[in-house]
This record gives sequence, C-alpha cells and structure tokens, in this order.
Amino acid sequence: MISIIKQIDLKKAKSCILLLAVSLIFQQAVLSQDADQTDFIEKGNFLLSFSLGYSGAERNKNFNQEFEKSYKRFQYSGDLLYLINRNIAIGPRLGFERTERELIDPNDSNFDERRTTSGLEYGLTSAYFIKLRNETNKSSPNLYVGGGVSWLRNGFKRQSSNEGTDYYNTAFGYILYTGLYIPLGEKITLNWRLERVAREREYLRGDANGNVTDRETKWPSTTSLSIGFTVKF
Amino acid sequence: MKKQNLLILLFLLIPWRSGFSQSETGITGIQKGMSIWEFSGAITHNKNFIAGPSGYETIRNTIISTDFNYIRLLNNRFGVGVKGFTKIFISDGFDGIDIGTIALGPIARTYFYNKDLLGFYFDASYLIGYDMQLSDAFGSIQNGDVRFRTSLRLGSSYRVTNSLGLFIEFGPDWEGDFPRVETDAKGVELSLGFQLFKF
Repeated sequence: MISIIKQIDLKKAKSCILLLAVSLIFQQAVLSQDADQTDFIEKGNFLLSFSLGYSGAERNKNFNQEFEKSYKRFQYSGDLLYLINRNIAIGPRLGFERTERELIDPNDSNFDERRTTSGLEYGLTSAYFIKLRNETNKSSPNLYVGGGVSWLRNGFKRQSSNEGTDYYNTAFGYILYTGLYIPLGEKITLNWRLERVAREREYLRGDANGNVTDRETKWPSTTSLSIGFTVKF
Repeated sequence: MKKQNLLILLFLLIPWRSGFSQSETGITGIQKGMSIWEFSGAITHNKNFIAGPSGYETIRNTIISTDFNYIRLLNNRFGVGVKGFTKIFISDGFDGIDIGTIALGPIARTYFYNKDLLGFYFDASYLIGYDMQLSDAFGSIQNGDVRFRTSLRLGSSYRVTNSLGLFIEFGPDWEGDFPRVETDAKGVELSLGFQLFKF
C-alpha cells in the first residue's frame, strides 16, 4: 500500500514536468502563429497529430470481479505526415499503450498478482488534402482522405508470487480515414476525424473435447469519430 | 486533516495574485462575465466476432463518451461552473442501451497566472455520479452505485484565437460511497483538450 502511494507520488512529479514540457511546445506553436501568413498545407511541412494521456488509481474496497486493487495506464498515439506536394503527404504512425494492474484476493493473503497489458503500433500512413477555399489564406480549411497499414504488437504479462506468464503476438491491420482541418493559426489546426481500423485475427472453434475443429481469419474493426488538433512544423 | 481537505483549504485561503495583463496580440484576456467551455468526446463503434457451436456471431457495440466543463468568471481570475462526464454503451443497433457512467457537479477555478496567451489555473470540483469507476482500469464495475468524487486540477491553457484555446491539466481524484470526506479510491489523471471562450 505504501509503496503504491509512493509510486503515484513519483508519477505526479514526472507528470508535472511533462505538463510543463507539453505547455512549452504549445507555446512555441501558438506564439509564432502571426509571423508568416503562409498556408498550413504546403509542400515540405510536417503535420503531427497526437493524443497523450496518463491515469492511475488505487482502491481500498469494492474491487471488481478480478479484485483489481490499483492500475496505472499511459497512452500515446500519433501520426506524422510529411507533405511531398500541396496535396499528398506520407509518414509514420506510432502508438503505445501500457496498463499495469495489481490484483489481490481479500480472502487469500497469499494472492498478489500483477497483470501488464501493452500495445505497440507501428506503420505507415498517407493522406490526400483538398483545399476547400481557393483564396491564398491561412484559414482555408482542408478536407482530407487517407489510409495506411500498421502492425500492433500486443503483450500480456502476468506475475504472481510463485509463477509468471508472458504472451505476445503481432497483428496486421489497415486504417482508412477522412476528416477536416480547420486552421486556427499558422501552426495549429482543429482536426475532425472519422477513422476505421481493422485488424487481422484468427478465430478458433472446437469440440467438447477441446480439439480445434475450425480456424478462420476475420477482421474485427473499430470506427471512431473524434476531434483533436494537429501541429505544423 | 486528510490531504485532499488540506489542499482544498489552501486553494480557498491563499491570496492568489491575478497577474493579469492585456495581451499585445489583440486577444481579450480572462475577465469578469466571460464563459469558458471545455469539451472532449468521441464516438467509437466496435465490431467483433465470437465463435459459437454453429458458426461465428458478429458483435457490434457503440460507445459515446463526453467530458465537459462550463465556467463563468466572477472576476478576472476566479470563476464557478458545472463539470460532468458520461459514457453510454449501445449494443447491436440499439438492442440495448446502457448508461455506463454519468456524473455532474460544481467546479470552482482560479487563474493564478495569466499573461498574453499563456495562463495557469487551479480548480476544484465535486461530482455526484452513477457507476463512477475510479480505479477500475477497464470499467468493469457496474453496481448501480451512486458515488461522490472530489477532484483537483493544475492546468495550463493557451489562447490560440480570441474564442479558442488548448489546455493540459493534471491532478488527483478521491472517490467514495458517501458525501463525506472518507474515500475508498484515489487516482491521478493527465489530460489535454480544448477551451471555447465566450464574452
């Protein structure tokens, strides 16, 4: 219990530093917005769209069905696009998520288990931009459509006082998306995005004796509508 | 005295300096009567499969999550408002709708540094919510409980235009079954988002 509190306090300090660091990045982006009245979408520009989050918590009672006592989660995902001309951009897609949970059994003092799930996504993405207004104006919104491929390396690790297991697999997937950039200045734009990610997965069916009778590859998917922001540099 | 009560007391008693000055960029600063809206949200639709004895069944569900703050400035550094969040699950084309979490409560915020485009603030909120799930990593607790959450946030905001800004904030939460100071869960959160300003 005490060690967990100390870990969270340490995270607070690290997160405060992170808060200030991200603040400085925003400041740099925003303060330079009036320097040049150039278009947001221009050959040679880099466009970074990202999300970032951290949460952690612990609880003393009312555990869920897995007797989860505490967890810590860090998440980052982002696309970096390089505009090779006024309309076409390509670049890497990178994401990472890690969730670490501590499970206990209130009726068994010997039970103490840590389960860590992680996901590392890496791939390539591309987009085609269509300027919605023809005037040479920094505030011109842009419609975009894009797609890419990525690989997601999933990890699962279980550690208890007397045993542990590790499990990893990598799944291929494709991404299709469309959206709208609404520039707020020279360096920052609002980003409305509708995205579909489908990832290959093998499903197994078996008989009552536990024998596998059928294998089939399917493509479970996630479609999301979100609003974010994109930074140009 | 518990740690969260001490922090809230400090928040109320410290004579924060406003540090306000009018921006040279033409952006109107934080001032009395100003409204600040903060919102983040996403709609996510998942399609998955489960293997059954006679084939594969397709499972579809949609999650709508929203998170908002509304603050009205009472002077050029202090404001009060409403904070809330919700998560709604819709399964198999409206066959089932489940309110996973819904929470609402008051929030008070002070801008202790505000100059040009950059501002720093500190806020405190108290939420009453249904099935709030602090400390539940995957949101699997659904007891139908009403719970109470106290939150503190240290934040930094940047004015991009006169009506829009970005913010990043960080702070602790405490949650319990009763509207008293005793809590059974605590956590920390770091988040980014947008602010809309209305004069």
